[in-house]
Amino acid sequence: MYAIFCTGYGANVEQRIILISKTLKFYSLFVMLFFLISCAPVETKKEPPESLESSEPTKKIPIEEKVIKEKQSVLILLSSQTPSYQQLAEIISQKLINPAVIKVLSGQPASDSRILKDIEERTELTHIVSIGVKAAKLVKGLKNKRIIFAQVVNFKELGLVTDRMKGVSALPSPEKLFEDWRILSPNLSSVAVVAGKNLESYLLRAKKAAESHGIELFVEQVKTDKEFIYKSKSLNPKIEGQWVLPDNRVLSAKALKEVMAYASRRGRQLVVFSPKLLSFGGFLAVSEDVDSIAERVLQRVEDSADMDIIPGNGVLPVMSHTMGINRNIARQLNLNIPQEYQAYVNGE
Amino acid sequence: MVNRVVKDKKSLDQGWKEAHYLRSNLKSGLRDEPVPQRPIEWLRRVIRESPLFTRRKSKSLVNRIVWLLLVWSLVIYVLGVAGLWWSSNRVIEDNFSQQASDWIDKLDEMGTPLYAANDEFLFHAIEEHVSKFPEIFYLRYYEANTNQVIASYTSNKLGEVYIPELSAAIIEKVRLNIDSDQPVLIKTAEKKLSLVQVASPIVTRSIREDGLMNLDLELNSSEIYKIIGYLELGLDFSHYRSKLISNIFMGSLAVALLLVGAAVLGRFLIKRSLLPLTNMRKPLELLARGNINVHVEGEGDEEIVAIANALNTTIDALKSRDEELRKLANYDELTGLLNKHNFNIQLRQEIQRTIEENDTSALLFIDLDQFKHVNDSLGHAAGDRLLQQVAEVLKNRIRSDDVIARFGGDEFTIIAKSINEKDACIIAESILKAMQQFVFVESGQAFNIYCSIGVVLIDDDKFTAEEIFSQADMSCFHAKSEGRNRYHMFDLSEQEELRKSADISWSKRIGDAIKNDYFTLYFQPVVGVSGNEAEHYEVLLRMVMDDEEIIQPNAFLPAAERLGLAVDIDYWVVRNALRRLSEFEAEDRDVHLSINLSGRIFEAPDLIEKIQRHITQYKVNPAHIIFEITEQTAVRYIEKATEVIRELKDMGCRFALDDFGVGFSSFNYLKRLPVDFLKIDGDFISDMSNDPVDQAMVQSIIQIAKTLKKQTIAEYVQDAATMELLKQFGADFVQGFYLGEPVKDITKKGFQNTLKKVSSNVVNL
Repeated sequence: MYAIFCTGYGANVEQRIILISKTLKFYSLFVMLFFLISCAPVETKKEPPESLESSEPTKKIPIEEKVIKEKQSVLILLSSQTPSYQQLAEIISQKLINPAVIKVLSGQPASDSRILKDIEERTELTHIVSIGVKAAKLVKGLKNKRIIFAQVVNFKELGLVTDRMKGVSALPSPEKLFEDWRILSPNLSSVAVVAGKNLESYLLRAKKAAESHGIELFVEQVKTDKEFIYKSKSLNPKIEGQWVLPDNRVLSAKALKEVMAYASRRGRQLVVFSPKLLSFGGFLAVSEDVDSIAERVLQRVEDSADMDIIPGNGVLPVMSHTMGINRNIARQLNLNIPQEYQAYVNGE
Repeated sequence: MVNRVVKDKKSLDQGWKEAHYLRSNLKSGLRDEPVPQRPIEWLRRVIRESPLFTRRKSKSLVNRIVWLLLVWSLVIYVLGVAGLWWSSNRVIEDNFSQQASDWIDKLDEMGTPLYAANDEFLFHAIEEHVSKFPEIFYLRYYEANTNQVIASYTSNKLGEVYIPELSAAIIEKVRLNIDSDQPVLIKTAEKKLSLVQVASPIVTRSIREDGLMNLDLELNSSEIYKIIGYLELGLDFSHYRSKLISNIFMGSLAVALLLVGAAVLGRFLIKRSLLPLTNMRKPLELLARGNINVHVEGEGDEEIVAIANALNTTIDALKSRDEELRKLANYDELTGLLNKHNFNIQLRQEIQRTIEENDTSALLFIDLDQFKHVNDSLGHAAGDRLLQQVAEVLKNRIRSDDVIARFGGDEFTIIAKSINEKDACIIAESILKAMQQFVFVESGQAFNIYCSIGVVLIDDDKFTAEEIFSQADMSCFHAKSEGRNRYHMFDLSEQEELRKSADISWSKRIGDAIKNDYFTLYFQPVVGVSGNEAEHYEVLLRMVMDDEEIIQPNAFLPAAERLGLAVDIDYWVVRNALRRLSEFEAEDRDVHLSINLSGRIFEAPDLIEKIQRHITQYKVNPAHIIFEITEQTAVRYIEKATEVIRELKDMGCRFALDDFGVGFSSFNYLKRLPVDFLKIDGDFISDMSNDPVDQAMVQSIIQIAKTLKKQTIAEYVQDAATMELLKQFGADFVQGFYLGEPVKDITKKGFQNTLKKVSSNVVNL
């Protein structure tokens, strides 16, 4: 799966088809093997706690197993027709026995209200999966549904977490991030992150993850994009890397460009949240793994199948991510990309 | 005495007129002055005649071109400097605008902690920073909600000048400028400061919810804007402006120096380029002065070569024309021998030479005997061929030093230099012999052409050229009278006899003149001393010869008297004088004419009738006619004269008694003659200013005239002193060379000028 998405960045069509076919073969083999050992427990990665509410790592449940058990009626509500949202929705829907109803908000209040009313009136719907902030905000008031939100960073500020409404983290796994970053940049010693408020638990986790790899993480909290720029430019020159989180509250196009240009000029390693930002000076792009998110969502559905509430922490962490590496920046930073990471290099 | 004056040689004059015209054209550059008729033509003329486009101011073409170059360079220079100033200002303004924009960006970013922490103390860092930049006059940060200044900085340079805070209207304008990258320019009232005031909103942006999932940094539409404050900035650009002025000055100076250098170089190059043209100046100046012995060097550019070639061709043409004219002036076109004009000069020179060198030469006058017969029977072309062949025969008979000329018609003249009488006879015989041997063959017929020769020795200074020629002419006439084909050596003792023979010649000439109007009238002004403005002229007669020579009346009137042709001449004069008078009167001119009558006319039986007929025929006013008869004539024909005078006076004419005083006639006659004017004889007037006796005589005559109630006319007035005396004596009219010579054509203006001369003379007195 990694290969499919990673090759999306700069790979040509032929390479992508080959990789997809290989992946399908591998997947078929995996399903057969899964049937043979269906009763045996699945070995999962060790994951650090995602948030203060969910500091314990959770088990990874095979999707097929959950699908079989799932008897719930699910509606997936998308904030917009963003491809990544649609992709996530499709994956979730495919894993359900009863195909989920997928709805997309238009952005028009009247239309969106009609959708909300419709959802509310449909009693057969037990679960609502909201993808994106707008969808989450729209459905958070529904009383008779269990709601799982995804792709929302500042859920805390929006007050999305209730007994009946919980979600899946939109932020990448810091443990995995620092593990990969350390491998890619063996001499890295200090990193800074400039982000908005209400991400303290995630950033604490990240700090620990960084420390575990011998990296010191400096956290600067800001309110606006101006502060983001100002703080970014005011960072101690000795700080070698900067991690840019997907916090829309403090980010603007101008801020991103300016900070990335500033960091690039000073030879600072930039880790960004979107492969699109690599061309602006990012060294490493770490973004959500849609499959992992889908897996976590289905887990949430399954866990709450026979309950009025959704059990567990406010958001479940995602333990894997997709990656992209800017070779040119790596070269400028005198970083050697190990063989096992060559597949993530942009354009290869 | 016969005065021979060469006058109005048409061919010569015409040729020189053409040459002069060509020369004038060369001088003026064949430029005609157009007469402007329309405004556009007038404008063109003004431009053409402006100093830069005319040759009056700049005499040198090179200088004119250099001046044009300089003026043009100056124009370009001024335009260039103006353009430089304008464009530099624009660039400075653009740069400054960009600089202002950069400053806004920088200060916007620097002001971030101010808004984040809301702590004014943080502003000190900004203040410290901007104080290092002298171009910043002041700086203000505003809070967005209250529009209040939360932090400000003012440079010392601003001094006492207070710049007011942004008004609500300007803040609104700045707020609306949120989408622009450029700050808002605020118009300042501080004209004395080089101040640029700009303002910009301080904006925070954030990517919209869900926007990070489909991030596109090129699309700002996915962002949310929020104004958190405003930034106002005052920038001082005087430093830049002074630097700009300094740079432009230096640049202009450099350009000016380059232009001066270019002008010097341009002048050198232009002078060099126009050197072939300049080289043409000297020969052209010589040409303009009439010297055609020049050659214009044509080198360099093909245009110059073309001009030089054209000029050389013109000069060659002028030379040819000049040579042709010289030939026409000095040589006979038909025979190539000297012509009459040149021969006369040669004759005078030879007379002078024989006197100076005490030498003897001879003049031979040759007249062909049968020429008229050939000419009449075979035509003029045959006659011309005969003359050419005779000329060849004669040329072969003379020495190289001798002079031969075709005098006119079939007459040839030879000056045989340094010979005595015997040798002259030998030459004459030799010529006769040659002519006897000469046979002229034409149209199958053979003609023996003989000639008659008159020979005169040129051996002393007693006779003038005209007299010597006349003697040769008479001798030739004598030879012809003797039977032709012979020569006759002039003998002074034969002169009277020869004169008689010559009279016969005059008879023919006078007869032809009367018949064919070979006479002409000249007019000499007679001016009233009292300032009478009526034009008054004495009519004088001249004879025009075949060769346009003008003969004075004293040359032919004696012969005419002897031959009984005087009356015919009188009638010719009266008829033509009245005709001219009628022409003057037709021109509405108040002209009075004095007409001389000879004594013989009183013998004519039809005198009164003829005069009456002419007056009627030409419809002239008889009062404008004054007949003049000499005192001697009047006394000689006293009875008849008195009768004629009375009759003509009855018709309205007036009479003048000419040459009064010279005849010493009895005053009794004067009492009897009813004349109106006494014309005092010139002998009394001409030397009157030096001769007291003449003065007394003139005074007496004037007194007598006044007593008899007659007016006086004083002729031969030759100077102002005489004029003064006549005025004092009370003369009524004056006449003479001092007042005006006889002329053929008279104008009213000319007479008025003469009058002015008399008046000014009077004033000067």
